[in-house]
Amino acid sequence: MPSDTTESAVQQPGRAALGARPRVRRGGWSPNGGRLGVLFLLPTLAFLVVLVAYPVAYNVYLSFQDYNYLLGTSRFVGLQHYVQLLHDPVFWRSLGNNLVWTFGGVGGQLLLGLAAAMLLDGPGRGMALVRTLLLIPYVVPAIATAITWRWMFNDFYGILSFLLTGVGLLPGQTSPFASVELAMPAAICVGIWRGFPFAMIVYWATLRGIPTEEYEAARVDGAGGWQEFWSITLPHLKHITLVLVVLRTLWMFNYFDLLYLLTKGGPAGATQHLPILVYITSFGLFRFGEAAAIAGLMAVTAGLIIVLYVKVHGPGEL
Amino acid sequence: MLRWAGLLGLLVFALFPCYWMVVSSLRPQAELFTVPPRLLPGTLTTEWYAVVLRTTRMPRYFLNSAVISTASMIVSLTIATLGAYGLTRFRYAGQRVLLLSVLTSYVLPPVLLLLPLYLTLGMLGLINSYAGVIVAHVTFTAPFCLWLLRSFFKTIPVDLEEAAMVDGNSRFGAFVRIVLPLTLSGILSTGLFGFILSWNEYLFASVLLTGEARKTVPIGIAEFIVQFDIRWGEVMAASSLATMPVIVLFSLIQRHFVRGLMAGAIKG
Repeated sequence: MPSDTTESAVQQPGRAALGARPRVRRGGWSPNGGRLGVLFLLPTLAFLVVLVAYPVAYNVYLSFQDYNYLLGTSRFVGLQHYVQLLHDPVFWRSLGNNLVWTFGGVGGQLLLGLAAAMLLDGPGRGMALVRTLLLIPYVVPAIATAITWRWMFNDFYGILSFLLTGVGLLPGQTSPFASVELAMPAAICVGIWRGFPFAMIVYWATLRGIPTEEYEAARVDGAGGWQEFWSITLPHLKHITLVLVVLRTLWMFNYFDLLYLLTKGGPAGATQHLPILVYITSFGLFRFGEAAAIAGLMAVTAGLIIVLYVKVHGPGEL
Repeated sequence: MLRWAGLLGLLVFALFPCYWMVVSSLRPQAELFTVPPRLLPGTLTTEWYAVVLRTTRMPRYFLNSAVISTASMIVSLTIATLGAYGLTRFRYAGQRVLLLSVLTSYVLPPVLLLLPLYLTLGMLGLINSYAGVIVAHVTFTAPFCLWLLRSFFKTIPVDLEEAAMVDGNSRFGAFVRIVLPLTLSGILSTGLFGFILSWNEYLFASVLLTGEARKTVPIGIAEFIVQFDIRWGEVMAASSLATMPVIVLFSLIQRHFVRGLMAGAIKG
């Protein structure tokens, strides 16, 4: 979790008291749960089995099949899809696009989020309102986001295309989404717009948790603004930054809706990332087995990131 | 001064697209297509809204979205409230594995579940049904709610429940009478955020809902783009309509959301 500082402080005394307290009536606190504990967990277990374990296993099975949904044919091919994918330039290009989309987006979101958090931090009238307003992009539906940015980047009538042409960044009467070089940077901008509030609010809450005495002490020692930032603020943000990087990376890496609705992977595959490749391979080409293999490789990558997350957090902090 | 200039810049960056969406939806055809585009609207018109609401299937799609999001919210809250309470208050064999599974289910690539869900729901005859999409949406709303609610339950000291049990409540009674009321606002906010996630979702809905009768709002809007000539006025009006309920809901819950984010939200 991004921050456990407040919660664990409250939770731990209660937990610690479990063993020490005398048992109260009707079973009391049996730490192993007993029958009631199982009842509470039952829906979650059912969920994990039916909607997580089963589909994942099914996907693994599919990836070993040469399953053409349109023809209805299916036969076992073992690891063939995986081997083919590793030799497929389209796969590698999509992976490359996925990494650019992910790291460009995550980097921008964190930088802008941190800047926003630092501006929000501290006293000031109306800060709560500003904070709320800055959070809005985070909940605008992906479809509305994509449509609006496509309209703003419209080749003839888009206000952003017009402005960018004015400062010489775009040749006239074109949309960046039609350009092989500019489509991905433009899409990343939209990804940053949609995702920066998350980083902002996490950073903002972390900044509020830094004891003011540390700044006061630094000021007594004659530290300037930048020195304070480097020696006090940044060290306090190190841990949460690592966590944010991992969480946002996972999210952006897997995120289908926004990029697909912005560009459908085009032009000429320039913004086709792995989720779009899975979508096109399955529901465009109906090669379900191959699509399942791509999704499987994505899951392996996500799994590695999860391991990293648990490592960053330490084993006790799940 | 510098701070306010920075904040102003950020506000423009964050809100201009929203402003532009709404303004574009209120402009008559002639003003929509001017070069250069004009920042402030001249005459305002609601004709695009009238077209969207009267001549397209959008009203039906809004109903579908409302049904699907509400049901996803209720199902995932039920799973999540019980599960999150269980996982914070009881010790189970394999606790770590359980938590890790929930966390994993939370960050699985949606495209990994796409084909298995599509084929299984197809086999069960649940393509083009509310139930099918609700099941698909629960795959991400339930772990989201569970993860968030766990942090809310952690903030309630166990001593309160113990006191209630000393007073003669059963364990379940303590849960219902003490913990639920104390966390109710957190639970509702979590649920409403799950509602928003479901409301905004495109991928599963686009695959599982192909018939006219059950499509959701994002699918309906995306259809405007597929057509060769995008009717921008209508699209902007439909997008504004789709965004409004989300912003209203979010402004109601954002206080809890901020707290919840701190405590462990990933999705978004």
